Amino acid sequence: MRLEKCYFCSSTIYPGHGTMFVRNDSKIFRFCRSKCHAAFKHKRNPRKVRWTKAFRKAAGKEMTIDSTFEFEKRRNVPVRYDRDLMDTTIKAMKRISEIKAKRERVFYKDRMSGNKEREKAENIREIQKNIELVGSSTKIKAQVAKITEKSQQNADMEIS
Amino acid sequence: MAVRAQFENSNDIGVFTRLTNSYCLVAIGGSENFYSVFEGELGDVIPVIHASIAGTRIVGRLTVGNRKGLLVPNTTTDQELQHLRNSLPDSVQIQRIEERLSALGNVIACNDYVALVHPDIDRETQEIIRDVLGVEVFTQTIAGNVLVGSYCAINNQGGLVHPRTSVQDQDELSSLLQVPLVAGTINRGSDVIGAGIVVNDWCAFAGLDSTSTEISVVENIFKLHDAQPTAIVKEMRDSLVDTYS
Amino acid sequence: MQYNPVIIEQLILCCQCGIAIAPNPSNMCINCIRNEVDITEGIPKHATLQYCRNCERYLQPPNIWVLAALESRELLALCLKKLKGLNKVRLIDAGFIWTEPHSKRIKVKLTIQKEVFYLEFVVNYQQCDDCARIMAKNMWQSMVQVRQKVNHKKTFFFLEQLILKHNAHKETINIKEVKDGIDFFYSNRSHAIKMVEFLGAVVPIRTKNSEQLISTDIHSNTSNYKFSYSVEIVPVCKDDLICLPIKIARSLGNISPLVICYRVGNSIHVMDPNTLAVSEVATSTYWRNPFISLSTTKNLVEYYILDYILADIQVARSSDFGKNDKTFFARSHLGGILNAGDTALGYDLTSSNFNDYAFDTLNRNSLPDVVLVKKSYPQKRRKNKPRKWKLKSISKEQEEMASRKQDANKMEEDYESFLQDLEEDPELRQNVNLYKTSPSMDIDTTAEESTAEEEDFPEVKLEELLEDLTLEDST
Repeated sequence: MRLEKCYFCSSTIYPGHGTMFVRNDSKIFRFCRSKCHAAFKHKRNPRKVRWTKAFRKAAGKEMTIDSTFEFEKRRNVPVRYDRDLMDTTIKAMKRISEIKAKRERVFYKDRMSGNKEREKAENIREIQKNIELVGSSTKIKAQVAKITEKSQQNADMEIS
Repeated sequence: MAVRAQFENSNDIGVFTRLTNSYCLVAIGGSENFYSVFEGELGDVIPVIHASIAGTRIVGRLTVGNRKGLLVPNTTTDQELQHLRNSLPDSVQIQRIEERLSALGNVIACNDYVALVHPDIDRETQEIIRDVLGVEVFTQTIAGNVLVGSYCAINNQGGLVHPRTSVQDQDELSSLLQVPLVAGTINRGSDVIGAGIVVNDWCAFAGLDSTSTEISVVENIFKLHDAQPTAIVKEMRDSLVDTYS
Repeated sequence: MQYNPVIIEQLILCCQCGIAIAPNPSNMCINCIRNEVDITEGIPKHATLQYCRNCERYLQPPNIWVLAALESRELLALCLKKLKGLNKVRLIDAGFIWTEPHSKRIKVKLTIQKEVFYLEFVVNYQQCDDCARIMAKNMWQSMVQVRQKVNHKKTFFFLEQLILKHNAHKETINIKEVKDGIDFFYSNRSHAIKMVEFLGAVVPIRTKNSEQLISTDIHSNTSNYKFSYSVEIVPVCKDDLICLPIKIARSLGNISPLVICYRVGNSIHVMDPNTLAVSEVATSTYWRNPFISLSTTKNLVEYYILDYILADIQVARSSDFGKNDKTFFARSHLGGILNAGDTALGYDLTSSNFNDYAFDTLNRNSLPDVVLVKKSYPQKRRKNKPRKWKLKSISKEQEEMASRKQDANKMEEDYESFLQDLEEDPELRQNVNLYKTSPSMDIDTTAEESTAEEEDFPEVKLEELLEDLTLEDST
């Protein structure tokens, strides 16, 4: 049996699960659960709903362009059964999923790199903006001044 | 030879069968009697394949094909598609079509060289028909009916069309198909030709109700009198000799 | 240049015989269609006939029962009417095929455009309405009880004639004679109401209706009732002496209370014999304040007219002749028709004792001694003289108790008196159909009739009589 994809959230639908809607132009919509069907009935755009695969891809949170996606497709031209071919296909499937997982990991790493520095700079800027809230404690003030000076220097260095 | 047959008490055998020069599809779950009619005529020349399309038995109305290829609708499941591929000779291309009009047998009529199609059919589908079946595609109607596949039956020697097709239309269609046409009926006066008869170049199967008059019309126009698979091969060889000489 | 499309008629082969024809819905030539199609298809081959065993009639739907012998034209017409699809085809011939009468089967041979086929009718027994009515006596649903509380039946004889004349008893399923009146039975409530309305139009009546629940169906909310209409006729008859209550007398133009009823139609017509003042007591007025007759025709006394001056008449009792010379003076409306020597009927007030409240209030001294009512013909009225006319009557069922001999005699007396009234009153005759008697019966009377003939003896003129149209029953 074929494992279909949900029209809304793109999750896999196993046989006997979910619902199907056939529009009167004969286009078929499959839904993994009533949540997706209800969202469809409310005319929500899956690209605008944050929890769907479509949103994640559109927002650049997941891999969109990759050669591994080429394997998972509905094919209209069948190939005659060949035992060897089937054997190699099954082997290849494992290998492909490995590669895919690896590429996804790399993609995630790339996406997350530089997050720490960005966060730190953000914090410092916030403290500088709202320094009066820190109070009259000279010790803390001095510490703050030190850090700012340091970061300033860093910034200068980067610029120069 | 034209033979009479009946599928489960129905005379519309064209609904349950698709016959071409290189293969024959029959619906699964029919009686052995029905299958043996086909196998007796065709068995040692071309494969008779028991198939279903989208879980249904109306394979004749859902598919279209000729010697070179077979087109199936998008409702065909992967298993059915695989089964067809495994059963058909390698020379036959097979393709599933994403087309809104899924009863391909009703909307397309073809022989090995020309196809007549329903006016609403997609341009892309027409391309696929051209490529897979290796035919010229013409958008046509028969006697005002858009369901060209239902209202005619053609092979490479002739064609039988809806009884109300006017002489002008017959002339036009005949010039497109490059074969002679005749207006006629099948199954004792039924005008749904495509459902009543399946035909290839040396053999035809008509509904059990067809009268001897209708059968003789069929045999005449499709030139089945002395047609044998071997004779066809000989003729083809002759034409090959002609072309290469 | 004009473009002339060449229209070539396109032909196909007939799917049966291979003749070239123009395409048609069945794609067959006319001959083949004719062979294929069964024109008798829409006609049922079997049907049933309803037959009443009792009266030997057949039911012609919806509810007419006709007499038809076996293998008769009527029966054939009945059979053909039973067939639904026959109006669509052309029927050439039809006839019976002989079957045993007790087989309860009737076979008919039909020819439709050269096609011959056979029909079989099954005869089923079904009791017709008339027979059912006879078989089940108590199938009435509504009853009209007509009563008049007087000691004679003349009103009912008159009513019978009225009903006959207007054919008001058409829907009646049974008529029963009971003490003081008649009961009419109907199978339908509306027929009973119609009868009550008819009675209301011809005689002064009061009606009361009641219903008895027979059964009820709570599911469909329908109930089955028996309806009884009690109709009471005013107990005042023609020629009765009436003492009107003072209140009524005043309301009728201050008429004298002592009056004679000279006619009962839709209302009571009264006349003061002294002044000849007439008045009318409407039915509603009567029932609001009912009164009874002071004296009825039973108590009429015969008087001999001695002398008269206009309306003042000197009379003596016929019974007093030879005993005494008592004479009375009466003022009467009959002055115009009475001569000395005639006899007249009247009420004797001197020797009568009345039990009536209104009468007691009258001034005794101002009362007349005698109230003359009508002229009488004691000599002319021979007993057993057959009449030249007769009346029809409605067949009535007698109540068992009423068959005593004296009752029968009394009834005959009443009937004779009614016939005399008819003879004397042309106005009354207008509402009645009189029929000639058959000539054989009055042969013996013709000889006598010429002997004694008085000028004003009331007789029914020949023009008023109708030919009797009763069919002689040969059986």
